[in-house]
Amino acid sequence: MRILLMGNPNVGKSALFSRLTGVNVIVSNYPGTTVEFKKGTMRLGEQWVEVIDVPGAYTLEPTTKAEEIAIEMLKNGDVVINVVDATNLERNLYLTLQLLERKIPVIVALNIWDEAKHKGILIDVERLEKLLNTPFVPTVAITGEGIKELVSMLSRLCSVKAQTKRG
Amino acid sequence: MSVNDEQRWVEIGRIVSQVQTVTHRHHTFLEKIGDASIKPLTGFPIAIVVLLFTFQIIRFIGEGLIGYVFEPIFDIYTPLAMKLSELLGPGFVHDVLIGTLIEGEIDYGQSMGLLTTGLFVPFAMVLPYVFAFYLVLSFLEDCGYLPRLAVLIDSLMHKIGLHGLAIVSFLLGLGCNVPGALSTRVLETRRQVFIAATLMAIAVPCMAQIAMIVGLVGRYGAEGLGIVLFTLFMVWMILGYLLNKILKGESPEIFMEIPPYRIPYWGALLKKLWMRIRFFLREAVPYVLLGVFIVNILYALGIIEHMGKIAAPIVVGLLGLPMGAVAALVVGFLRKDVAIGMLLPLGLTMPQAIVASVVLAMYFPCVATFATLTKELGIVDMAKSTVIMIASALLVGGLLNLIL
Repeated sequence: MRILLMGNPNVGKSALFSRLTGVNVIVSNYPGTTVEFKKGTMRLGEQWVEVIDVPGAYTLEPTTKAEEIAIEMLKNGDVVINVVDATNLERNLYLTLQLLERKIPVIVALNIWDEAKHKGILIDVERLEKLLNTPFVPTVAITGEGIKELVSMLSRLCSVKAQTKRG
Repeated sequence: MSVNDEQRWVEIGRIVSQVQTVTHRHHTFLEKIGDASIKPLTGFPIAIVVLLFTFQIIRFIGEGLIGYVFEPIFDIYTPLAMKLSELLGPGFVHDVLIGTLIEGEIDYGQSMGLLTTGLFVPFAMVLPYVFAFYLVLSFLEDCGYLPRLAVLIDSLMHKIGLHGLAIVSFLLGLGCNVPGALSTRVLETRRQVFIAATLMAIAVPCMAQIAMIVGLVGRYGAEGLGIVLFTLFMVWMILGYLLNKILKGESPEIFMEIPPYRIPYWGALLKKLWMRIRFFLREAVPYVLLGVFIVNILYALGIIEHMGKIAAPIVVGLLGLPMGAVAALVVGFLRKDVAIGMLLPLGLTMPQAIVASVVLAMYFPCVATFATLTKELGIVDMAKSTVIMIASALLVGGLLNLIL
């Protein structure tokens, strides 16, 4: 099982990756910090799964080498955690829609949730889940808030995926 | 594809209007500084203050660590090394491990043994500056200043065929050229990557190199150091300008989001600092030791002398350096800090030290950077880049020799 962390540049994919896998990666506050993919593993219930920190991309039509790498990775993923900057929902959803069109299971991490609250941005998560028909989890990767919910959502999705694969 | 761009954005608009409400509020303090650091009128003074401040902090921490931590540690270590020296007695093994004794004593700058200079250079001369640099850089990265600097400097960067975002690559390159070279992947065209990588290899000395240049040229006061850094900066600008004129292809406009200023999360910042220090220790220290080892072998076999004779017209004639500098230029392919260390015992005059520092910085990147660049650019472009490096190094070195 291979889980991909994908999203626009500078939304916190690497921070989330560090949280999930315990593997240390460089995290910064500017777009384009990650230019190579990085692998790690995490435990989901009984099984160990591979987690990949993918360089940031705005779209699935590549414009830079970092984006090319991102799209190449997508071919070999089983589940995508789409990391979204909750303070820039509109811009981030473009990639989300593109990912959903690909028929790959997607969980959306509404990251930087704390800053969205400070900025007075309110997001109706349930409504969002219904409209896009995919799970959304508010997270703050840098402090660890919401990671537990994300992981339990992930293990549910992965066990479903594993069953359908066997069946 | 069944869905196009337009339809996706319409869909997004429909979704967002249903799920998101934005309440009104005033500008926060961080947002006000955010605006001020991009507007040219306030942005440039802020940038100058930030850079000067950065420079001072790096110097302060670097010098402090050397004077109060690392040199005292080596003072404790010296008697042990001297004991070993006595035990070994004169001979080849002594030359490799301890090196030459200067007036019967170990001189960490000049002895050139694996256990003397080989340890002193990476730990007591370079590491303190690497630590200081990455501490400050990590802070600038995490608070969100770098993208603002990128926007501010964008028009200047267009004159050298790049755009503002490339400044982030150059800043990373000041720490170590390897991550700097990798980071050029965020640039859009091959032309930009070529220009950025070539300029980095030639005119952006890494922290290990800068620390050693401080040691070599700094002996003559701040003036010499100023000349070295100013020369490299001018090379960066002029060479970039020329490459931009000569190379075909386009350099697109900057397209970057500016993240908000954030107060760095200290745990994450320190972890990042530690990762970078570990990278330095793991990647650089073995090469330094290897460099010192090879120097000893080459000297013992008399190869350096031979090479000196062949390279004399260039090194002595064109650059005005003593024959002994040839060995340093050879080792410079492997590690620049060791190479500059080898210049310390030569008793160079200030002009010679300046020429040697500039040429060493320009003529070729270290082995690790060379491998990374070859992977990123491909062999053909790397060959072109290498020709540019050597030609410009000899030209600038020769000119400096004439002027100074």
